[in-house]
Amino acid sequence: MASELSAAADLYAWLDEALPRDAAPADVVARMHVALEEAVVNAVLHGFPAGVVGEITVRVSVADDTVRLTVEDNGSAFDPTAAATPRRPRSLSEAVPGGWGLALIRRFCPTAAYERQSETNRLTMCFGLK
Amino acid sequence: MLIAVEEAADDITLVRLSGRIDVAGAIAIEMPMNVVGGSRNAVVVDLSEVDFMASLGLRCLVQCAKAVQARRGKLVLLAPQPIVAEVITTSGIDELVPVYKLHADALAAVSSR
Repeated sequence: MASELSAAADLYAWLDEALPRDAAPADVVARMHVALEEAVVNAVLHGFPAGVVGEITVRVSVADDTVRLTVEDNGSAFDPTAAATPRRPRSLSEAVPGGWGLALIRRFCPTAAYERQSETNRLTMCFGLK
Repeated sequence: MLIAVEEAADDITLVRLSGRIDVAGAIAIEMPMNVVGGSRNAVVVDLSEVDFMASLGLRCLVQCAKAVQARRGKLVLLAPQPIVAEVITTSGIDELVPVYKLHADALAAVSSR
């Protein structure tokens, strides 16, 4: 998909169709959706210079009661598993909307793994189906 | 209907969000939330019928809350479902915008009376 928000709208349905029917509890699917949104939106909003539309590839595989989600992008190098989470604002007036993606990925997929190969960021997220 | 805005007693505005506030949902509610944020001073955002929300939806809420607060108004969140509540607490939004479980408590929190 192109690195644009509008292209990301269909991701959830795409993921649901890739999963075996009734394979995952609803709460596990919801957690996958959160992690997927955060990973993709992070790449869309922060992975490329302004005005540049890059490529984001999302893959899913299911094996041994585990769903493996992989989000790849050809943007600037960024490891969401190691980057420091932004300092929490002390007040609403100080808050800048955004910056929650890293915390959400780590919460909803603590085992997320990052690697960079051939100018590509790859985030792999695994979810147990049972 | 993803968003419904109604005026309640005591000049309180009740914003009812419903369904999935995912990428498409967040884009859809952004404008009406901006209108509420730019014009209302006592706002309760009812999340009880929201099945899903992540950071894009949170952006809309926080932007609206900031706009309301900038005019010395109040905005609170009401009754998020478990997955949405977890997103709210993980992001720390609950430290910035009050979250209530009960409708009466939310109304009382924004009431000027």
